[in-house]
Amino acid sequence: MMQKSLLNIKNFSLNIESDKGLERILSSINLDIKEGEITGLVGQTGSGKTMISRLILDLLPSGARIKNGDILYNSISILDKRKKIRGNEIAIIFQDPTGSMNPLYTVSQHFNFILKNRFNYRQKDINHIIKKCLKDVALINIAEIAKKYPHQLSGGQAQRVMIALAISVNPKLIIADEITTALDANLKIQTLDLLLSLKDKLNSSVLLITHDLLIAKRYCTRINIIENGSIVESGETAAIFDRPKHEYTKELLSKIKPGSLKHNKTKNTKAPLVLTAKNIIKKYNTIKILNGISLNLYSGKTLGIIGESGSGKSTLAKIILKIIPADSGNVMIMNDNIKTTASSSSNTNIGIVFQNPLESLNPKMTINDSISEPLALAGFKDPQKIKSKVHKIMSKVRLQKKLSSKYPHELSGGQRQRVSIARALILDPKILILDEPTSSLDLSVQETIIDLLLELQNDSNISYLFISHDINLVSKISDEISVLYQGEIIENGPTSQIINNPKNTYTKSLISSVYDLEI
Amino acid sequence: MDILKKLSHQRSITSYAIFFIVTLIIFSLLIPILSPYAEDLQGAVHFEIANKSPTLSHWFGTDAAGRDVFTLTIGAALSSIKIAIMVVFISIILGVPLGLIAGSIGGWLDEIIMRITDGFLAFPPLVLPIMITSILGPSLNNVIFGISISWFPWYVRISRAQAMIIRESDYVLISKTFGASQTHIITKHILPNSINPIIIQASIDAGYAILISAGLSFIGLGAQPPEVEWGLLITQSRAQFLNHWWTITFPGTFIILTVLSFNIIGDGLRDILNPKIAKE
Repeated sequence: MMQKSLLNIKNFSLNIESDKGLERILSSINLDIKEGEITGLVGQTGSGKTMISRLILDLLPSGARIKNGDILYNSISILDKRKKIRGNEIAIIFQDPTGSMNPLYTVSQHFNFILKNRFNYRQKDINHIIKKCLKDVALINIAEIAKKYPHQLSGGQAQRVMIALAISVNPKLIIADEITTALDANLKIQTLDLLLSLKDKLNSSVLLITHDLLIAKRYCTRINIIENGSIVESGETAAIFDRPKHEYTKELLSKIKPGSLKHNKTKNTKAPLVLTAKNIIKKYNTIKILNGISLNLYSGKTLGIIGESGSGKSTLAKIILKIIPADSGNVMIMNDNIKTTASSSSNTNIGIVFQNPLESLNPKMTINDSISEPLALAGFKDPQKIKSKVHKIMSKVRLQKKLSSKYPHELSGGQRQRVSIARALILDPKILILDEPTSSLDLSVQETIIDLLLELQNDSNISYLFISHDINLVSKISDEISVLYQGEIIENGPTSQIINNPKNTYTKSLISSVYDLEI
Repeated sequence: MDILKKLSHQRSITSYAIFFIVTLIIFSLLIPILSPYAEDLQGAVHFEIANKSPTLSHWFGTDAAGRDVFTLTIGAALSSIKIAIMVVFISIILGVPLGLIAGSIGGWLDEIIMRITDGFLAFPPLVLPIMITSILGPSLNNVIFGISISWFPWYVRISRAQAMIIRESDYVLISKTFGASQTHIITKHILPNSINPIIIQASIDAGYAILISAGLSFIGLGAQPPEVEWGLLITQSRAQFLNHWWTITFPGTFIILTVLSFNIIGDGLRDILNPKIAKE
């Protein structure tokens, strides 16, 4: 049975004017969103998927020049009246919920803006709609949430409020642009399940824009794969997964083959301890961020620490690095007891790689200067020696030599993270702390970074402390896993044991959230 | 992309502004050689040709002492631009290091530096220069000193705010884990990344410095005759303004154009140096 088409983009091409002249952003896009369905648009960062959502809503950047094509809504061309339909027939939910709200206004004031100013509802009706919508998105304590400001909401709550705002106008089409990227694994599923149930309730359609094929597979009736501004393959979800035709689709699929929780490392020989933390406690004011954390890291092994945002995992990394002092407990590195209260002395045995490579590189320093900074700080003077060391480490992390004179903003996300890794490794540390090293990167880039890390470990017998919210990644790289929940390690053990036989209910829900993504 | 387009527009305006300032400096330097009335700059008087309206031989007319207004106006540019540059330079030299230290080290040092700075900021912007020039005696150098003293706190504030943001950044944290000293962090990380807003503020302030110094000269606290300065030229001729409009109009126009140019340059710099645009 064929569904009626709700929104149809026909043979659309879009250029953007810039310094370098006209740049083709979208070429011959054909996209069909059918009534009552969830249509997936899957592509990597920069593939043009967000440009399509902006195109539908007439929110294109001002350099954009439509070359050809048309948009049909209920079979009528709406190219010239997209503004009328935006926020009325079509609503959008963005990736960053807190950033999409005005920090000066409460939740209920956000509803007022839309409903009073645009649709002239009466205050009584608005209050009623607020209640209903917030209830629809399964928020509890509705009266309190309505009075809160965006910064007082958690990430999951904020995204629910955004969804509530979107459905408050009874849209026929909801565009969900990477709405779960900023959320933890558990919340991801909850949020999308919610969207699915709301879609049925409101009898509307959804355009789900994501970089995550597994999410698309679970929720979408039809999937469109977009690469470099053109849709390379589209069809029913099952067809795409069973019989991918285009090379790019095959490449994407090969990266997510089922049995998701892979564990590559099984050899388990006895190795000496390189890092122990005992009973670390850290409080901010009266709130305990870390409550008696202990862990052991062995030479040449990887300890994965998994936890949601706010579980205290980054604080733990900073305590081990002595960036911030702990309230009690101690950290031993290479049998060299370092009081956790010491703060400024360096330790060349530990390197660190943070989540966002753009923020961890000084924008005014060239790649060469960034990588060689630790050498300069460690007292290396001979420029010849520094140069050869930098080149050696760059080739080790697969960075081309010619990049050394470039600045961070000229590099891709993956390259930047390689620079961060190179800098962390240049003093040959025994331990590398990786704090969410891949979460700001695309799926395929994540893969290459993980491969690089595994390779480096094989070569140099370095130990990793791998901190992440992504059970998938952690299980791929770790020998052992510790699960951090609200400042406590609630479960730890060898990776295979944690994956196959989790004891704690929280761990179980974490693991099952991954399997949930398999149909 | 949109911003890039605007920038290219702005860049052409910015280049006019730069062209204006540079030409003004060059002509101001050369006017004692080029002008047939160069001795007017030294205070020569020719009452026989007083108050002549603009003609081919006196492009901007002459003032009550028979001096060529064109020669005076162009010649005065040098002292005004000197004030602009010196005020900004001294304010930066005083303010930026203090701000960077306060912002990156924090604690009691921050408190001390900022409370002293707040003390300076408590005075309305014109009062402090007036006080200082009255005490030290009216002269161009004292005007420069006075304005700088009342303005450097703004540079402390800007650079402190920048330092406080950057000291929390990941690259400073990482640098610290490798044992970087406070000096290393300030010179290698914080200073290069906070210089942009300082440069922008400086180029806008340069224009206002000219305005304030002209104001001080106007009330007799700035440049003293036979020195030439725009504010002074205006005050010398204000009695004749109604009958001889050119004596005030031309120096006034040049004040407006110069201040405007510095502002446009500042705006252009802000756009070019904006990290978001630079990244695109």
